[in-house]
Amino acid sequence: MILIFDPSPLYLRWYKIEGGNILEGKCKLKPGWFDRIIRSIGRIDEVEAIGYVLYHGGEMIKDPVGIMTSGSIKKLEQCVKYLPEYNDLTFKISRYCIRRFPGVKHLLFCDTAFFVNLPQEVSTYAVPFELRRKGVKRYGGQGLCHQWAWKKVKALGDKHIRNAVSVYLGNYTNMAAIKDGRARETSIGFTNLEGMISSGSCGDIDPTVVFQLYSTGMSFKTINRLLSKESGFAALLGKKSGFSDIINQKGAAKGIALREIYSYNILKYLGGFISSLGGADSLIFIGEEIDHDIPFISQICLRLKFLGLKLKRSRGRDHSELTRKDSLIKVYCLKYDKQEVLVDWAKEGIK
Amino acid sequence: MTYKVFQAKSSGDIKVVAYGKAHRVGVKGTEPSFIEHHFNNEVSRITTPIANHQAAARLILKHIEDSRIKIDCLGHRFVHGGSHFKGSVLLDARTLKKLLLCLPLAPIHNPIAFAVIYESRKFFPGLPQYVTFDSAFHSAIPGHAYTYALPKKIIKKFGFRKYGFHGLSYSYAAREIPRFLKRNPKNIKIVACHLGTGGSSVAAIKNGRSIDTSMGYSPLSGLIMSTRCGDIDPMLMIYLMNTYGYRPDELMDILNKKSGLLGISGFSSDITDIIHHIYEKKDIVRARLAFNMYIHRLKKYIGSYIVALGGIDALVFTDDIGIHSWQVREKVCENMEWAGIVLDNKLNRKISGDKTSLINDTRSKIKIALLPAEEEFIICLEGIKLLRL
Repeated sequence: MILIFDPSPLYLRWYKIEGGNILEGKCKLKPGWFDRIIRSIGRIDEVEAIGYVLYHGGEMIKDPVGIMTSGSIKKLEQCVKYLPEYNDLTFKISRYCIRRFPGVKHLLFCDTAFFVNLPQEVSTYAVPFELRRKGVKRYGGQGLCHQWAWKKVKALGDKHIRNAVSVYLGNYTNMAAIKDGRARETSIGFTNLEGMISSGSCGDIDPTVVFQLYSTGMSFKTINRLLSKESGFAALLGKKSGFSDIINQKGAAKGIALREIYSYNILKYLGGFISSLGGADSLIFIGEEIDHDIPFISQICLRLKFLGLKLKRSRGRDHSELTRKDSLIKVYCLKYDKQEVLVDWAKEGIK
Repeated sequence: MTYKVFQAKSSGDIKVVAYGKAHRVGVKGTEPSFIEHHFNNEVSRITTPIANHQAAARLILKHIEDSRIKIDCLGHRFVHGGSHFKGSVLLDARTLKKLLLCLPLAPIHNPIAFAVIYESRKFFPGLPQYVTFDSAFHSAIPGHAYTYALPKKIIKKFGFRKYGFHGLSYSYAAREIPRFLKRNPKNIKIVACHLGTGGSSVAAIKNGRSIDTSMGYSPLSGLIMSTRCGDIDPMLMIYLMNTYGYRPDELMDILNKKSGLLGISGFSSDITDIIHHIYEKKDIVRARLAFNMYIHRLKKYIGSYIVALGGIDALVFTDDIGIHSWQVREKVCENMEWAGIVLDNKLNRKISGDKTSLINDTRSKIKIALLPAEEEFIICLEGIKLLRL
């Protein structure tokens, strides 16, 4: 049995994986929390490993999955500052469990580790050293997902995959460019505000905008909330909305075809990353409900026809590969299941 | 500040009569400021203190008058017309009022341009004058490319959207490149890189109209420039102000004047200088990082716009760095076969950049062109259109 903890600002999610079954639950970190989890899980003595998701490992954590010891707790504590809302919980839970269960394996899954070794010209911001030494750099994110996708496509039998762009479609759409298994680009920057438009955040904007907002007397907190919670799809559509609302949008909403803004956003990043790779041989799209996204993905791919991307005429039931054999760029679609991804990583960690 | 005097019989027959440049305007230093005038194959150099651009304008206009060059009409360049101006306009009391509203949009450039306009109207009262905008060419950019995903009331209140700049230069490229390639200007797709010693940007041009560009609401975003940072995570500003107590104006100053190539290299804002350091193996680590970052950002934008356009016919390099730095062009065009771009490396190294020329390999599907910037020429053409000369 494997137990995995996945933190969020409001509560702690946990997954119990035993055989092929996954039991899921969530709890608040109040006194007695662990015993409550144990009550839901049943027996704890068969735990083989306990895993913890760390969403931001800064420059410290370099492996997507690694074995934790009491020594690595210190390292983890130093990561809390990168994303306190999440990391603090990861730190506290793992410290507790390592003390309480010294006999089991403890695994740390790090979502930024894949991007620790980005080329320097990609990870650096063009600001003075004075600012860079304060930790200002591109950290990326969702590495566990993108790296998993790369491995999955390789396992699907594509031995020729060398230069890929991996696109996670969802409320926090983001992309990575991968060259021979190593990360070459990420759309996520210092934080996940940079990059693509998401359900509540604005994505790429001119930095002068922040200055202009500030000069009207808005506080940091207000600006932060405005850019990361009240912008994005919510702002453009005028109501709280998610990824599926956008790709299913028909016609134009109040003059702006949101779907077009969104697909253009994706296309521009695809072009930028393909260019950075010096050409791509594969595109990987990952989504929780990937089958529903196929028409949207196909429309994006049609606009890459000029690069020799050839879609299959009829797809049949198999959605995993959308392109014909003679297509210069292969398109793969993977269903994203977070638990499944973590289980795959856990297996690798235990090995 | 530069000027050119054109003699135009028609829009197809335009000659430069005189031109010149005021150097070190408003610069305090050991070297004196001076104005250089070219007229009738003669060059005159007048060394004189020039306190500001307004004074420079007065000196230049006086010189033109003294040289007995008769002026029929005077055209000005204005960087940021915001949403107030979608094209060139004749100056009158109403347009002047609207120009005043634009001053905060480009706090460095716009007030200077306004002062020059003010001085010129004082010097030549009654002379028809007009103003052209660097943002106007980009007013054709469609909504899906200019919209920032911010709340509507904020967008409305501040006018936040992508405006884009270097419009006069792109307007020239959109007109000149099809002519040079003997292509129909209504059926050609171009990615143009305006690489200047100060600001730089890229534009995607489809059938003569801009569909996207790398600068945004202000000239700060997009490419890495000499001292401007280009694209950064907007959260960085909040983080730095909130955590380290930077004042907003202090941070804006850092991002506009101390970042970019200067911020990365720590020793120079000049790409030529940085390339020189790499060859000389001086400060090589920082110099190489600055160069690689400059190229990387540019390559990403070119790739984005090639995809946005669904493939292109021509890749154009213009302005100082664009036409003079073979190293930049060579590195940018490296590994671009995926888009059909193959540079003729030998030709690229020896070409002078004085006139429009092609530097692509014969195998290249896409034409690669050098285009000396002729922004004044576009200002002249706009004037002919406005005055129906």
